Amino acid sequence: MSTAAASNSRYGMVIDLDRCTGCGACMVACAVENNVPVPPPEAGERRGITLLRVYRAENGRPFPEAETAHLPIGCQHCDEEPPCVTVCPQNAVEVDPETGIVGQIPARCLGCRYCMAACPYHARYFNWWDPAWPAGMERALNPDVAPRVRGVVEKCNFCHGRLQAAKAKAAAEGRSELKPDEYVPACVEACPAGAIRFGDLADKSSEVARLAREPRAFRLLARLGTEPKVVYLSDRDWVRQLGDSGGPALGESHG
Amino acid sequence: MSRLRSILPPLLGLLLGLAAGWAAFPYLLYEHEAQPLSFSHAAHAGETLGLGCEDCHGFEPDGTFIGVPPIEQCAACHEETIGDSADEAILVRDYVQPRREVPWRVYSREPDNAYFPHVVHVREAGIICERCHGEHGATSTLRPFERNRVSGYSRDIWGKRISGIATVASDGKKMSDCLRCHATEDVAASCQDCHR
Amino acid sequence: MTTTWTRRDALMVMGGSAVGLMLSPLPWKLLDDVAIRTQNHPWAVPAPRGRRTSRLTRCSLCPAGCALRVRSVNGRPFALAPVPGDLASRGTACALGLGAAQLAYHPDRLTVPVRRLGPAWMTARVPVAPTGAVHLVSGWLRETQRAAGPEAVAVLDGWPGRERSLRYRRFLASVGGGTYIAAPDEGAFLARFSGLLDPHPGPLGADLEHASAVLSFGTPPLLPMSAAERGLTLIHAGPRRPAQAALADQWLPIRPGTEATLALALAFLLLETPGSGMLANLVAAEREPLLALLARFTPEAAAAITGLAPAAIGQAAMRLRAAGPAVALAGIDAAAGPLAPGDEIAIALLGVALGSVGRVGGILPRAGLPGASEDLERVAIRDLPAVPDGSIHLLLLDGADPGLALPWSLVATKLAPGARVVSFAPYLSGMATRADLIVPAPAPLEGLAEIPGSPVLAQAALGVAAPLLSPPPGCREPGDFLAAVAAATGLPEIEAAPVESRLRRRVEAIHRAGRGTVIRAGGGEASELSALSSSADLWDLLLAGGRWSDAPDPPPRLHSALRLPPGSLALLAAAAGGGAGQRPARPREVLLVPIGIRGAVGTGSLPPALAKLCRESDLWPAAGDAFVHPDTASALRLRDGREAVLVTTAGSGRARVRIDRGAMPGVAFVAIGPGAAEFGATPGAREESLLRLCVPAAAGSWRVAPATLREV
Repeated sequence: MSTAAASNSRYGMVIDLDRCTGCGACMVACAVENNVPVPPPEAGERRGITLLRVYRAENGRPFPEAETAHLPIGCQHCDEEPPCVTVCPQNAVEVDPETGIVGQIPARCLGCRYCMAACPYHARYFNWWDPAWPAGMERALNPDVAPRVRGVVEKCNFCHGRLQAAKAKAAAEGRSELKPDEYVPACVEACPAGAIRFGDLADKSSEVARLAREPRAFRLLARLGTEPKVVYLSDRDWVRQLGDSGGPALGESHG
Repeated sequence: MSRLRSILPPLLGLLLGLAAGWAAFPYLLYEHEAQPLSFSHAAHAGETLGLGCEDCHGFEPDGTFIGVPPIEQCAACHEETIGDSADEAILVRDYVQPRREVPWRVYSREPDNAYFPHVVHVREAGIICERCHGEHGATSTLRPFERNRVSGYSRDIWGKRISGIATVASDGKKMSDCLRCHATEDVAASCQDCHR
Repeated sequence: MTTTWTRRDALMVMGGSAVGLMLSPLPWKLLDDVAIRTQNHPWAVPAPRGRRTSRLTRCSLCPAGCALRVRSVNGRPFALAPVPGDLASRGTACALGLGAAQLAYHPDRLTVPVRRLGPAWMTARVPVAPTGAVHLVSGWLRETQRAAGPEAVAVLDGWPGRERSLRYRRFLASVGGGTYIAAPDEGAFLARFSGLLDPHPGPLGADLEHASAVLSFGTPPLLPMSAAERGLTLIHAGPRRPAQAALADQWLPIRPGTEATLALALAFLLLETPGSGMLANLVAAEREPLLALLARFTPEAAAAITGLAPAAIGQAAMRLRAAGPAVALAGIDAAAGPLAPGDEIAIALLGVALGSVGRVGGILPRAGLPGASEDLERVAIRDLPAVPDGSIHLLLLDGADPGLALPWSLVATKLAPGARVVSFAPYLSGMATRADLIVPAPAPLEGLAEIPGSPVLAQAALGVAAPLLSPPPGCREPGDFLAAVAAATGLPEIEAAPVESRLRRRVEAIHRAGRGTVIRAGGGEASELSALSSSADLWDLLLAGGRWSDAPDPPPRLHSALRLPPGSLALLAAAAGGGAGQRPARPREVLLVPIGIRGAVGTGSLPPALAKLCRESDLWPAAGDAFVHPDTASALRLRDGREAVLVTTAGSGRARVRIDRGAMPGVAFVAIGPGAAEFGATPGAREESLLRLCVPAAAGSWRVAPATLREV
């Protein structure tokens, strides 16, 4: 959209793993923002929808040197030929050239789940069941997010409803540019430790662009060449190893 | 002669089929529902009062479109009857006084997964209301709401004509109708700009 | 022309019609429309449409009272988000608060009073009309007064210090002197500390705004955000690494139950320092025997008991000495509760040795909120252990809880046979399932709620949570309900003013006192309370999400010395040298330590989004998980993920084994609380919390219990 957004932004996230305490506020905020209900009991722990999911990792040392790190992983919004875009038979997912956001349109999806197999980050989730809400809660849902139906795949889309709302607000105020903090996804807003930050990676002066250039920045599975727009930070070597980025990619930064 | 005789049945069938598809089908497909009250836009927007579209169908400060206004809007003037029409009396008695929302049928109601921000089109793109809604503001009564019996949506979305091809700019609010303008203006090319 | 129409002709007509139809929109449009129709299932929930609003408020789920931005559609809140600019909470809110908009719709939520049909083992409940509930309780009240007198009527208040707490006490006064029990909360340690000082200074608080170091035994207190940002040194002593590892500067992994040992060892090192002058803070008569006791706990001796290295103890002492104003606090663990009295006395002694008593950045007198400490005759605030066993015939359970666990067994021993229990909880969960009658209070977000600040801090604070939803008609404010009960029983009338007017009066009293600063929600500098010309302005500011905090000027002084009550030395010696924690575990034994996250272990219910989080991630320990070190597991022949039976002297229960390399060997950390699996389950099917296996000591703590764990 040439209105209300700098042309050709590349929205990305920087997640500081040394600040993340594993409190789960981001996961709760994500579920509330995206109208994700509690699935039925048979869902177990893998068949629910967790658009952002925080994983626990340990350093493998015994007590008392055992340490945990927490990794919030959602869609990495790959910049370079996202695998899910390539495999989708329905063109239900595409990279928005203006914002860089990889957008999933559940209305087009036919539920083949090819994209779920293709995604190396396991960031895609299938709606096995229709959403069921406790009585009364269906009136207290986020109006900016369309209701779900079963049989379609979903993933994090950087709270695109909030981008739409921010653009509408800017238009109401007669602006065409968004202010820097006007559009933040729910997880970024929720994190009490400030571990998740969001912004335009293409804007060299933005905080995320600056952090992404730091030596402690790394990306997950960078060796696959997906060029994810989600960058992780950590001083701890064992945490950086978790990125499985391959030798030369460790510490390499992309502007 | 016999050739004529032999083409007659299929020709007759063809005509029947075409008539059924082009004439009977649109007649049967749409169910007419009257609006709960006969509201005259002309009386409100005309020369006497001079209300503009945005005076009732305006925007919140955050850009959300008010849409069909809530009962408070009518109550601002119609706390008691100020005219002599029967419908106004019903409005005041059954809706304004108990503060009950009038169950208007919305002609342009889009599906939940379509996102149409009025504010961007009106304020930024500068499109006038009549471009998409026709001369609705000049009507003295509300036309009946034509509901597609199968899909549940308004006839205005598909378009007046059963072929779905629009002759006037304000007819039809399908994706293809929106894309006509978006393509020429070269804006909002991504799926997520309009879909949730 | 006469022709006969043959079957062939008919077929031709049909064929032609088919072609005609195909050339018309009918089949294509019909297919399209049918596809659309099938996507709009009758059971599909449409997106809410309507007017959106956004406002600021504060979270009422715990004393932190974080600022929140509430987004609503059609007047219904659907999302809560933290407020970055708020000076008190600085953009924080926890997972529980962020899901709070869903609490009003929880399946366990009660909208009318319900009573149990029969004896305690029955789970079926029937609704009761509010007036019926009043008469029921009134009848029980009369029975109790006749059979056992007014002291047999008790209120267990989960969050003392609120205006509602005052109402409970007024009700008990009108009964003729009932028993008001304050559940253990964050302020319990400081209340005990106060009792150990002579002259008695009244309520105490820790001046964390100015402290440089905090040594926390057990869960660190809710630190004021400004202190955390300033770079407060936090040393945490306990058997489990705190989740906020990023915040704690040092973790002292001591065996469970050895807190007193560490405290005494540190006190010894600090008092030994020449010129510390702290000895003056001990009443002269007790110095010799106390110092003799402390001398037994050299770093080496303490190391042997606690499991730390002697150097670590020395290092911690040095750090505390060098840091500047330092405070030692006995935290209350969400699941494991308060420390035992012996431990608390040892930590108080450490506080004296640190020189924190009466010092800025240390332990100072704390002015309470106006209206909180009305002198109500015959209604003293009591601890649960101080209540005689079997003395309560009618127990009223306050429903709001700041998320701390309390084993039912501790409460049950105080009940007489045939005692009646009434709960005011909004949900049928936790302790409310033990009640004969539940008269639900409004759920969070429904009704005006008061948020007193943490009782640990030296400066009192107050926030208010604005009502965002209307409560269902069957929900009653507990104070209003009790006023009706008092009227029905013919007791001296107690005030039935609505919540708002009573809170306004409290705010007026704060305004009259003229002290302190206020902040507005959403940002801006703190300003003096005196700048607000009327109490109505203060009320409006609070209702819009602001907060008041006390700023006594000049800072209060404290000149008291520690005077240990008789028997304390023996208690200290026992706690430090021979408590349950230090008995070497017998070969097949582990030490059971309950763990849980604050807010997920108390009476309340988890918001659905949080239940989902528990199920779909490892972040919050799921109820029933028992975390053990691999060595402990192999010694007990336990395998990861298997069902196991946990047995203590209090009973037995099922747990799931989880191998955790970070767990302390010899300890089983058992997660308690409403588990994710319980969401939506019928109350009868709910798994019993393993908290009941914790053995409550006579003095009311249940931190650690010897247990056996074996695979099923």
